[in-house]
Amino acid sequence: MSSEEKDFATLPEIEEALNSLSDSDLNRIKKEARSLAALYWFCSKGRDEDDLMQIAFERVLTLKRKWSKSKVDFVRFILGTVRSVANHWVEEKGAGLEVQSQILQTDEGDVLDQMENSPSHRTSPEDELNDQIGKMTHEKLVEWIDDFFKDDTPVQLVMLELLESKKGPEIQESFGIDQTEYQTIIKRMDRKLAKEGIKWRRHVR
Amino acid sequence: MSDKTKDIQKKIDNIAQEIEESTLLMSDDEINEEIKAMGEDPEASANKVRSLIQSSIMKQKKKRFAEAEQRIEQQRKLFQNIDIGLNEGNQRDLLINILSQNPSIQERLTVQFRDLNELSDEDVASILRDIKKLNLLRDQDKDE
Repeated sequence: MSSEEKDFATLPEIEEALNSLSDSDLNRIKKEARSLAALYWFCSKGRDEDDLMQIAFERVLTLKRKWSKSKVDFVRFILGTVRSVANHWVEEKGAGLEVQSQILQTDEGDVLDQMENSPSHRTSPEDELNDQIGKMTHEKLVEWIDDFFKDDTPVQLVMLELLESKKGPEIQESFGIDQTEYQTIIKRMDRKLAKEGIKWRRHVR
Repeated sequence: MSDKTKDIQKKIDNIAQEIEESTLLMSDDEINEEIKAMGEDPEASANKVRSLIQSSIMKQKKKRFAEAEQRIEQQRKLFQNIDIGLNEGNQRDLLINILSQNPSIQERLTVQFRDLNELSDEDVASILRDIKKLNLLRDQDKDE
């Protein structure tokens, strides 16, 4: 057994760590799961924070996701697992269904036209459709940010920059804000997602 | 997965990472405030997550127990098959099957698969009788 493998927690260690989580840490996990279930609205298929947490706990309890004890704090490990589960929703078959169904209802013809004119190097109609869904998903996310955070321009701007894969320090520099101001904006985004995200999602469905 | 889907996955994860960092930076009091802002009581909320953990632990335990039972049942059937194998003459296939499913027996008998073809029918039958006599399959069940 390599030293890296030795560092991975065993099942009893995982169970003990889960059972030892404080109320605050349990709520930390719940809050993140709630925010992420709202953030990933376009591929959640109606699933909520309980679904996210349940899958995350199952992954760690089946050791599909391994905890490197000396490298990562357990709470960070669990939060990372919840994030990984949410991110996995994007790649599920039919993940863009909620966006796709809106496209089909409104401009089905446009989608087909765009597919016919797309580059010929693509190998399958399924890839073409996935690319269209990916493109539409990006556009829908931008629309959603504009709409959902319409009362908070700094949050809108920071989210759009993050959606362009920019990192915190780069965004702080381009907007001329310090780290504290940046974190305050992120907290406002997070709070609105956790507080109103699910309600908004139900509203649009 | 298409390139566009991967791209979306990466971009949205960039936002999710910021949420995660922000969550980790919050004090316990701030977390309580966030839970209250979600319209929930912090203690009840924590207990609900704790119940979710307990039910996940129980579910996995039951699953592992069912899998262990299934393995034991398979071993039991293999053990029963030794009698049939000895009577019907398909001992070599049976021995290969047993060894492939039970590496620890293979170690104990110090028989390698590449040597099996060189064993005589009498040797194969003798090994099967030894396995049965020594109750190796059952011993292995106990080890598990």
